[in-house]
Amino acid sequence: MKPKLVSINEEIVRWSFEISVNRSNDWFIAFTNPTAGPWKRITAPDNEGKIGEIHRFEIDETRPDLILVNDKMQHVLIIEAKTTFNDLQKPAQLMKTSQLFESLAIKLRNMANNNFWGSRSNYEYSLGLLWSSGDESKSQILETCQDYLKRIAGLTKDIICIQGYVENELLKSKVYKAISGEILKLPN
Amino acid sequence: MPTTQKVAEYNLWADSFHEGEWACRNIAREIENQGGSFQVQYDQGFIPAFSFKIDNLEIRVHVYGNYGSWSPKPKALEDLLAWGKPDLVLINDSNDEILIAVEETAATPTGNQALQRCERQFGSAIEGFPFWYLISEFGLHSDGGVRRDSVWPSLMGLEIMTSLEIPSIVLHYSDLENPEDYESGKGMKSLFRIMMGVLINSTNGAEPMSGLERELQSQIDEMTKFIDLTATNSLYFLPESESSKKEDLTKKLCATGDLRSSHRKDRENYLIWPLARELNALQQGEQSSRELKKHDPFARELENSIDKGQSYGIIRGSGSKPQKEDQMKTWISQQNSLQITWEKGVDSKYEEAFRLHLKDFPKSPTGYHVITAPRILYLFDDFRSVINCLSRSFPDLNYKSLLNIDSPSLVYISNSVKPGRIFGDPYTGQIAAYATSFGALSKGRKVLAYFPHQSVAQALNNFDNPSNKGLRIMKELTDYLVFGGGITLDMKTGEVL
Repeated sequence: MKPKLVSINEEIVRWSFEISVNRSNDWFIAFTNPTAGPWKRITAPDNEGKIGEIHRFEIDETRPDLILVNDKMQHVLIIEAKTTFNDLQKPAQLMKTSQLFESLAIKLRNMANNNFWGSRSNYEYSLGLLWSSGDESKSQILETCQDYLKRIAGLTKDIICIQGYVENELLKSKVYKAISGEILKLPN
Repeated sequence: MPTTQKVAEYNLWADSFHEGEWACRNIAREIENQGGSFQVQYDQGFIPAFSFKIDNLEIRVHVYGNYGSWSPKPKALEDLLAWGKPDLVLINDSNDEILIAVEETAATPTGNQALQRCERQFGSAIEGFPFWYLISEFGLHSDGGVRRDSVWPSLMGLEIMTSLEIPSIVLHYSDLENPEDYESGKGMKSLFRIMMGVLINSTNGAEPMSGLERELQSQIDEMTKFIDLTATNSLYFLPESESSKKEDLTKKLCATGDLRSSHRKDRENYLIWPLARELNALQQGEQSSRELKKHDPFARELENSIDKGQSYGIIRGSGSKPQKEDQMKTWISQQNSLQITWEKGVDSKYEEAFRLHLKDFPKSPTGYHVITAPRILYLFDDFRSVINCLSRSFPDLNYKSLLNIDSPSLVYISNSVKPGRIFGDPYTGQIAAYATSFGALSKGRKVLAYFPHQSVAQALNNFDNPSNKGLRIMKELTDYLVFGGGITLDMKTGEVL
């Protein structure tokens, strides 16, 4: 018997977004952080398309949920995913995510000599927030993203929002810059 | 003339979509190695729907990630999830029967972590579902060193298979040079060959393990090799087993047909653990009583029983992590309160039989030690000796009705003070692993668990609560639970002695 989806959580929104990313020609997933399994490494292709390891997270090291890379736009997205926007608003989460973004962005920017990362160290690095759409208002989103931006202002200019939602039984994602409102050419 | 194509549908339930898709892509790799092909599309934009084609078969597998997000779930899956969430559960869509449950870990669990998943392994077996556990044999520790997997899941798996005649396989991946690397070692490919084989057999209407005897035999061989290599890291010794047992075991598992075997009449053990009086001189040389960490009359008697030749300790080492004073005060107050409430409704002989006092726990610079006996497990030749230890320890209580039980036995101790903790990690996993490994499933040993710092009230309040996994495991595997003050609960009847 085929079951029906009765609740959406962080993992499902993230998964459906990842499928869209995998269909994109421009973006690739350098890291994903599911609950278990062989996924503890940031990887990327070198100039010849050979995929190699950039960084391996320790078992108890704080990890982001997703890292996406676009070589054409020279853009790296470090993404925190939560089931609801409310989870992203909590002060402790704000602190944790900002600190993680800062340390990881600095780490990746200092990897110019890595064969598999190399010139990506000079890309633009942005923090992405991914959640399953609920009753959060535009002003709430803007206000929270401004709070995030205050903490990481020296490292990025905007926050990328990835808002998962259901339309005609299909899971979709709306992707935009929080401050400027620009819709991004990310899979959606 | 073209043959008629057989088509069958399956659902792969998974803790996460990533794991479900990862499993299907590995099955696809095995299908391609056998000359088949596969396609994948995403229903509703995110549900992976794989179609494997091999010979005249089309095998369709839908992946459903994150158990809690879906309804309805097959009854068999609900039953299995009550024991914990396996990472993968493969189900035949036409009849909702579970074909295989799989647990997999990305890291090598160490210490108590290694035992945490043993309760899932046991739950799967007792519900009658075949279980494969893929685990990294070599893992990187935060100190930079390399750790090796614990012997318990493998030891427990062999005993489950022998006693219940249902697969409970532990597969290892990685090697010393490539710790935590899924592609190294034999385990991962072997798991997916089995999954592919079971899917093909099911689609063909054949017995689940038909044609998979060699793969299964090789998996069992690897388990026994691993046990031989690593057992003495955790145990004082490992008894020898007859070499023919592995072949017999494979034959039985493959001949069972229905992997959900209900053939439980021949409950045997894979390993025969000797009685204390049968230990050789070398083994006996390692056995002598030790000082207690904290005074406890029953723990003292258990240690003395080693010197008397009535029992022996089989598991090496037992650490002691001091507990913080504020936590201890809270837990002690909660335990005493539970006990006092319970005493109000029972015979006065139990009055003040159990009270905890902080001053009784040895203090260290970082907190209070809760360990009583210096070991976690005792194997007794005779249950009567255990009961005599109890009688001497708690002379105000009457254990005479247990003196007529004639059986070797096992005594397990958990010194935990926190209320309810004994019904969760890692204690239930410990009981599952130890009781199964030392003969409880075959009824070869009576099992008694001792909780010196816990009130009996907790077990009585939850005795019929089906969501208490710990008590469900204890009902299956233990005969008596002895709580603080020696108050003893008969696990078959739910009565206090």
